[in-house]
Amino acid sequence: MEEKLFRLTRALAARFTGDESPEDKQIIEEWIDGDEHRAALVRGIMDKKRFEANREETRLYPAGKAWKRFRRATGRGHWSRVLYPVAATILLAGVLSVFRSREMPLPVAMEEDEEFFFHSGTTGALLTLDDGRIVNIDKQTALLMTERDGTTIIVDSSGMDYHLPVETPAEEVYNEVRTPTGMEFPLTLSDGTRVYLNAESRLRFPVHFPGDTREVELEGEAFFEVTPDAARPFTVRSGGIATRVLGTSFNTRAYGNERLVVTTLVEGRVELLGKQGRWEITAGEQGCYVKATGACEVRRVDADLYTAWRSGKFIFRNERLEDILSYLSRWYGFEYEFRDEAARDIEIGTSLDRYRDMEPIVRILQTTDLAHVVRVGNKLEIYSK
Amino acid sequence: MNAFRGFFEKLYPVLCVFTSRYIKNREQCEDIAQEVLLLYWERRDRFDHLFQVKSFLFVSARNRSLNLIKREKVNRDFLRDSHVGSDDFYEGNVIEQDTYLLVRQAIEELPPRARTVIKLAMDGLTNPEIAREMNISAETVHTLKKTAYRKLRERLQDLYVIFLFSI
Repeated sequence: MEEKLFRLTRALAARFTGDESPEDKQIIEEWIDGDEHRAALVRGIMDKKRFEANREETRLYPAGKAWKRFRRATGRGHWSRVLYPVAATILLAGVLSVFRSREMPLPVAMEEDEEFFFHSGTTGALLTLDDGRIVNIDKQTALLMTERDGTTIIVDSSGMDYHLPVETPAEEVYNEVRTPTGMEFPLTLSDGTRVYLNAESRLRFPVHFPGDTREVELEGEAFFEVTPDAARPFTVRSGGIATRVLGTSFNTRAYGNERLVVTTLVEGRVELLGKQGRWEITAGEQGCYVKATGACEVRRVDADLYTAWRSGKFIFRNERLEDILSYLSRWYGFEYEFRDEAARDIEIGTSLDRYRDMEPIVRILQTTDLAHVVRVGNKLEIYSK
Repeated sequence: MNAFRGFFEKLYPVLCVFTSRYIKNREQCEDIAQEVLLLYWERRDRFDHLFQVKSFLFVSARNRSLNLIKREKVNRDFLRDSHVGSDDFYEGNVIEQDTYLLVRQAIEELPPRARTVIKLAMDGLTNPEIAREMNISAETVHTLKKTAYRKLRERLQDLYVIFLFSI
């Protein structure tokens, strides 16, 4: 009976891809056997939307972490099980420095080398078309699509590009690009504006900008190179404020779980419009908008620090460890936990290669005298020294 | 072990989604998927065919899910009154998860251009429409489609019959 069931799924897969043989057809018909309920089930399975929805669901469960957990459960030396009671005892005793002594090697060292790395992120995103279809885009994808309004979407290794149809469409068609943890994605909007979407971010935009407005919605972080057009200001809406520009390059960081919306300007001038007021920032300045109060502080910064991710680096200068890890975890896909409060506020400065695995920062943290890091599975546990 | 990794990475999300048809809590779904894969790993030498392995994984995930629901008092009536415990529900769930897994696997392994042709064909486009869309000749579409289908067919056969890991 079970074998029959899996013969059936194979036949259904063949029908779904448009490659059904007479034998497949027979297997399906025999299974249905005039049963209306089963016939409906087969029709349901052939629905492309359902296929896409299912694909989307499987993405909720990335196998990477699970595989590490599996390896630990099957592998030799279950060191994480050993580590917990050890760490607890030491914490109770309040003698963290024991970890540093020679007699007791760091638990991390027991792990195999490959387990020590957090792999860097890569290029990829999920594109939601106006009709709700979801397309998964990765490095290998090469696609040509046409939206409902006739706009052609070209996808290749350099990102995604929207080309206007010959005739200007009447209706508004929206697309949404979402990057999961550990993914970034570049795209070119219909007006030629380049957008580099960082990890765990979402950009919603009209496939073709209507009339004399150019407006997009952002959650997360993105770097914009806006095509100059004095007649049509470009507006980014994020976390309660609107950033309005005429043509310039800037970075907006507006993650849902962060307190601030930070806009950093590389060149030109932008205008921030919030409920409490209006602020202007110029090149080399940064606007820190506090979501809770609606206030905004404009300060001079080294813009390179905040846009470094775009050029393949992470640069931090005297930043809180908690902020750094919160940021890095989106790209490298690890978890972290502060085992004591003081460790959150440790300030460090470092520069990392974004496309290399994250092992160096674990090293840095371990060799500095400021913090102590223990790795348990996919999680970093941080203690102040 | 590394040969098993590919299998694990394909089946783990599928088992999570399969389990989520019974259990709403995501972490519990992940735990169950993890458990049944471990269970399989411990007795992997007892299986000859892929369908036996899949069957084992799906049935184990289902049983664990139903047990979990039974343990939660609030859900007992739900289990009695709904059809989630029925064979029909199980079958429907397996059909959805496994068919889509096969489709994803088969398509992913096609070369890029063939993959685009198949995806467009799946969207209901005719050969001339695909040709226009991809800016290639209808003849090329025809050839790409033919090779793609041959590969899909081979791939689907493989998925069914052969089950060998070098462990």
